[in-house]
Amino acid sequence: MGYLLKTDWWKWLCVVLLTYTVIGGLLLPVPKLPILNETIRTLHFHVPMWFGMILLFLGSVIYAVKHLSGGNIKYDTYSVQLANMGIAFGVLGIVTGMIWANYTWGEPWSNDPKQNASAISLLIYLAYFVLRSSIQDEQQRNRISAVFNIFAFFLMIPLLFILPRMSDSLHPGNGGNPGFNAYDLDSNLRKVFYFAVIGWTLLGFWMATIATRLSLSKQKLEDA
Amino acid sequence: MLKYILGIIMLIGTQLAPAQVEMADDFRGEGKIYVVIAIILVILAGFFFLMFKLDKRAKRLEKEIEEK
Amino acid sequence: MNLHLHDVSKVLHLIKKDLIVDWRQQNPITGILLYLSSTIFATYMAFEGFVSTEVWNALFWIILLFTSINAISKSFIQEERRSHYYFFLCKPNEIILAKLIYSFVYLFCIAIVSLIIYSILLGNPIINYSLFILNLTLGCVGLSGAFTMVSSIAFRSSNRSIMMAVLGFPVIIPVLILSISNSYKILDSYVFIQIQGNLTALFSVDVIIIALTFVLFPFTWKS
Repeated sequence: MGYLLKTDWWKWLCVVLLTYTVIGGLLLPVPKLPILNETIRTLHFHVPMWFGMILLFLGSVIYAVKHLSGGNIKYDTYSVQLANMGIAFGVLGIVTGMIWANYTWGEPWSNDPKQNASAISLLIYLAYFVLRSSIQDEQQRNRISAVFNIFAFFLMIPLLFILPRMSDSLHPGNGGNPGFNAYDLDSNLRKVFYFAVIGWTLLGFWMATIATRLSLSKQKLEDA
Repeated sequence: MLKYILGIIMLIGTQLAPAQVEMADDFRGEGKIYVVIAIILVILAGFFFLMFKLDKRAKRLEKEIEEK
Repeated sequence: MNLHLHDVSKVLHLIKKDLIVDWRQQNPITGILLYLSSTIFATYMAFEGFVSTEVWNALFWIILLFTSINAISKSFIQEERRSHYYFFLCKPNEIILAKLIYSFVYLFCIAIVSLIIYSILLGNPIINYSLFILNLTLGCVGLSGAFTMVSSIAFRSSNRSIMMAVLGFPVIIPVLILSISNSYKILDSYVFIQIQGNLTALFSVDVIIIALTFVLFPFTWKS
């Protein structure tokens, strides 16, 4: 985050990757699958939201750990802003997922383990912000919320492995789902998908750095 | 769960050959997809422009406070 | 963590203190027992006595979940006035170890009592008692550990009872779904080998919870 705040080159990388995602994602040939048809292209826009959310939350946890071990107040701001952006990505992921699911699986919410997992991780981070707002003392708020951040994140990880084992998933990769398995290995989709994930995640970090700058400036104004 | 699997099996049964799956090929053939891409790219460019501007403004604010 | 004999006796003293406090001001325990019995009775009235095994199992765990969140939320909240003394007398590791042991024993007793009342009113489909109790024990370790930690977090916030639920429920879901599915399989007369994997998963979640609690608790304690 400190590095991202100082440098600019990765913003251009983000621009290039997302432009490529739109062009490549809409133009490159995709596997012709029943039910999905052209909506398979949503893969480059919906799924990166979920990846971006997890990576942003991971960044948030890393800074929570740094904050607890070092105590620098800057790290707390990083942690909060990354979590904030993670929630935004998570909400977008869930909403786009529900739209997509409505047309392919027949209903917006079908008790799918991955849908549930993303809903739970959103709940955790919304609780994180409720917790922050309910502690008055600033130092205590930063420390206690960092503790909850770490505690909840490390319990979310086993959840991601446990939930799919409990029931079948409609998502590719687990459960009985012949309509989707074909695109797991499709090289044309991979050509775009990985870059899309990096591009969208960089966008999330970019917005988080702007929010961080504003928040740090505000703190300095209040201190002065 | 069962109804999805049944539905998928039925759909695959009716459309066994992948070539029969209906895609928006006509739409692409007429070149209209480029219109869509152009519009999305313009919007994306607009947002990136705004992001860079916002970034610059935040940096300037940071500097101003630093100098105070 | 290397505990000396001296530390062990300190931990034991802390556990004993919790016991004495609960014994003297009996209303928390009586309150929880009454809470438990009235919830179970309400369930009994709602379902008119008959439930299928699946519903029996889910209801039992849901009742245990709500009871445990209420029972354990007090573990730090009641320490308000005393916390300053402990701060000088004991290390955070000793305090959390004592709290974990005490809240586990407390919750386990509650679970057994609730199982008894529950099976009197709503029937008892358990065949394999040892396996059911094993799973119940692992579930109680997870519930008591996670809620003890959450209680120490909620203790610092301004509206504690709501924070307890808001912070606790998302965190407890891995323990809850694992123990519910295990216990359903046990009621469905699965044997040990068939659910070994799931029990191990539950055990490892317990280990994660306890390890995190030991690492993180000292940060919530110092003020």
